[in-house]
Amino acid sequence: MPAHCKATRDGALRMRLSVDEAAQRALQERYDRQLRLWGERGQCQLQRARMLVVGASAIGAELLKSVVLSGIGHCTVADAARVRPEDVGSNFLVSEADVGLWRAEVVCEALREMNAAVSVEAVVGEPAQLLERVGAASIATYSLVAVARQPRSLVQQVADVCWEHDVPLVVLQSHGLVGYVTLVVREHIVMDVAGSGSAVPLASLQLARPFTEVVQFCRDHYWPLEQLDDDAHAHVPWLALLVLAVEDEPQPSVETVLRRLERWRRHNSEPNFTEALLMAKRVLRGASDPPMLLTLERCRSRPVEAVARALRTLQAKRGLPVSRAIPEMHCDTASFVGLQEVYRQRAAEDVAALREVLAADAETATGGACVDDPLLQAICDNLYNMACMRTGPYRPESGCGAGKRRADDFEGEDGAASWLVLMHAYDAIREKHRAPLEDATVLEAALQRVLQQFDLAKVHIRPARIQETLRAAAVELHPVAAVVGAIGAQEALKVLTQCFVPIDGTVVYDGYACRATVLSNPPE
Amino acid sequence: MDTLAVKWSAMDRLLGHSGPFAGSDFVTDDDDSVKQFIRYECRVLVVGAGALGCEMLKSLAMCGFSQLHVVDVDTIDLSNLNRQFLFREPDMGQSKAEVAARALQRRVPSCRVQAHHVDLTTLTPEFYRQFHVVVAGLDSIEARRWLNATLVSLVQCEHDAETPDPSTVIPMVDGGTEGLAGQARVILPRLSACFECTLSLFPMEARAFPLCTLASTPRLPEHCIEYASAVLWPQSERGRDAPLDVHDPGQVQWVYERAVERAEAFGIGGVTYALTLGVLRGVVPAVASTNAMIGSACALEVLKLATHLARPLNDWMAYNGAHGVYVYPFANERRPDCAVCGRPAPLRLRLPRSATLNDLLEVVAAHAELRARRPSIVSDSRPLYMATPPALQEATRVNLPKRLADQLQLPSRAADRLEYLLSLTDPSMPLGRQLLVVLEEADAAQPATDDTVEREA
Ligand SMILES: [Zn+2]
Repeated sequence: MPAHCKATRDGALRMRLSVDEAAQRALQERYDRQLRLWGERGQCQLQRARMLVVGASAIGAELLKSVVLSGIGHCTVADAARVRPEDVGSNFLVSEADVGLWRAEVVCEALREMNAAVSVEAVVGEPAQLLERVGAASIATYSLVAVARQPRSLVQQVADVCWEHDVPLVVLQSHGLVGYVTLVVREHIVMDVAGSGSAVPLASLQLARPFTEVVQFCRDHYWPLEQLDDDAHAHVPWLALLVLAVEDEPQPSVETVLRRLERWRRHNSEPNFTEALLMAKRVLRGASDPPMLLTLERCRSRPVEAVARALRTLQAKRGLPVSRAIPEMHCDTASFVGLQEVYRQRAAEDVAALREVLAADAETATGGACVDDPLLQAICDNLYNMACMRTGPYRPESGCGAGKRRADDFEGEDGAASWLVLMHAYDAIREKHRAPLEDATVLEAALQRVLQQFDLAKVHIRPARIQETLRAAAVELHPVAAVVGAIGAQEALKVLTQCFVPIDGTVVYDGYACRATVLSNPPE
Repeated sequence: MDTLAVKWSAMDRLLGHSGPFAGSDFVTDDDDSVKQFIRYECRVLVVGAGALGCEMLKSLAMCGFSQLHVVDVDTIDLSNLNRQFLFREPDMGQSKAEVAARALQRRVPSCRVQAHHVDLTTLTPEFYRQFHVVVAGLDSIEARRWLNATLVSLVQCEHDAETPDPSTVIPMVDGGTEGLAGQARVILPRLSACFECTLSLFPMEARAFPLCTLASTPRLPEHCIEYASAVLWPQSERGRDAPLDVHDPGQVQWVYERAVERAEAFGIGGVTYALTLGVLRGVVPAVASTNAMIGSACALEVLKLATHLARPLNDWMAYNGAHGVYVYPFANERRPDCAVCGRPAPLRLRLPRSATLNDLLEVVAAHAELRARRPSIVSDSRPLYMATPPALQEATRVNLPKRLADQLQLPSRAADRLEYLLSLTDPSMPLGRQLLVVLEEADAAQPATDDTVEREA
């Protein structure tokens, strides 16, 4: 059963499962290694996610294997093929006894065995009816759609539906030793660009304008500094030193603060002052709005946009929300625990204040969109680690950026774009004739048509790459399909957990050179 | 239809046709000899049956390699199942190598997999000599150094004692991952940069927290856990006899409970069982997709080495998926003075004249080229300190607090310094290393940090 999320009293997200405690501990332990990457919030999102994968050959199966092991909520596997003998030599999830059966059904059976907690469902049928059987309208109900090694017309059809309904799309292909993964997102909010366990962003301590409670705490415990004995003086936390140095300055300049700290310092070996001088430069030079506040305000996601506007109001009233945690620093236990508590309390009050602002103009601000507590808490926690990204819509040439790309993408050592157009050219032929192509002139003619269609007619493609494309004959070589499938899975996981930054276009993997290059597909 | 005839059609297509990117020794497989080689002769050893090992085994079997061996001393636990796809819940507690071999053979009946549920260092050079390629999916630097040194030592030289005999070179394909990052590399022992040549590319393991922080000013939950394991455990009844076993759930629970008590005493929150495990085992984050990517990239390199289908990686591929996707190859140089594959000169270490044997042990543990964590030190065949066996450890432990200058014979004397030639051995360095320890006047010497340690010209 997929878990559902609920905020606990301290605001931390916990997985509440409709099973007993022991089972919950087992789940925690099963996913322990990845929880260290994307945290409970990410895992929770993943367990609620529904994914549609069209295509169950080796590359689709390898993508599915990674997302199912990671504990996604549900997968629908749609595939028009029955297991052929060549699948047995490339797709690890089918075996000899399965030849003749529907490939999607065989793959689903293997996935169920791999992780019983994931619900999987197969959709099968002749190619022409496949999309109909999935139900074009139902595509909107998925959190993400992946299309693996499918005819170009079907890819475009699925892509158009996904774009219309705002569903993220991953397209995968592999040809011999090369392959690619394309990600299309109309708008994607990254909650945490750096992942769980990364350092507390200094800006989230709000030290340029310290809040009342932290000023009070520092005055009570450390002021006046002259009255402290040498040992205590050398153990005042750097955070408190900065608070004291800026608190009565409306617009503290780095220079004033540094001069003050130098004046207070008793001798050069006080490690807390060394830290404070270093931090003053980092904290005060970077003092500005969270970089994402502006972007969030222009977000299409109604709840996020509403929270962004409420944050502006809050900023004017009492300042932006502070971090719940403080970074490790040189000081004694009581100082650290005390400061930590001041921040924890203030952070909780900030969230409550933000909730009030939102409630005050719920109708106008959110347009009725519901902003739930976990989302509110997550935004406050990640104010300085959020990002918003967008790509252009899917087109086969996505990433080749007609006329805009450097010639290097085609002609240089790397040649990512040339591999991409060669794969498209070969696929265009392959969709008509199944037998491997032996005639270079046919491929070159198809290549010219693709280049023209992509508005890239003047581009030069190295003959060696054309010959290798002919040699590989678009075969699905298992280890390459596995590498590309894994990259596709990783991009899907990044989107679903909202952790880490996905690619903003197409990544081309070149197994000859062991290189991958991202070709961006910016929005218009 | 004959299933087998078309089963390998993808591979056959590439092996049956040449192209500009094929390796220089590639010949189109007109007589099926390359196929025969992969399917019946080529013996591949997979070291480690964890996340990388599972992926390597699977991808090698799907390339048609059918003479596989796998070594792993570990057993399966629940936290493996989010990525080690050859294992299921009922397999918990069983040998990783054995379960992986059985699971793979069930899926790919034509593939023969022999499992070795042992520590890799207990296997003989003769065992390693039987393989055409060795693929490593290990999580410890120490084990990789050992394997690398063993494969280098198997290379025999021609009459001139200089030129390696290529028929004795066993390539090592090595993969490693952490979180969303990883790397894959190809080592041709004595022909290309070996693991030891590039040891400095691997970060030193995080250093422990200073003892004074743990003892008097703990601030983080990690400090409380470290205190419980490093200070309280050795004082406890069981801890007096044996070091903490981080794989014993009872002992982990004990540390967890002591850490909670300490955290409560200091008003520190956040000590959890998971965090305790993480701190004690140095747990690194891991996800299925990264391991699949690196494991399969390694399998592809084995395929290139075995068939010349394309030129193998020279020699390192870096991968990072945290921000976009970054995959980039780069070439390392062999080090002529590499301690394993070169002609190493004694490593010069400068210490103050008052330095004790214990100080020296700390220096060799922290040195980026040595990282000797269980070192033994010998001077003129006289043991100064032996980490094993226990009887010798017992006998030599008394030397630790003594000054080096008081324990050593003087080989040479300069005006202001004393120099001694010592031999260092460590489980991670099968060949050991000569050290030239220089003791200097107190005012001339810096504390022995990395930048004061210089290499012999
Ligand atoms: Zn070397």
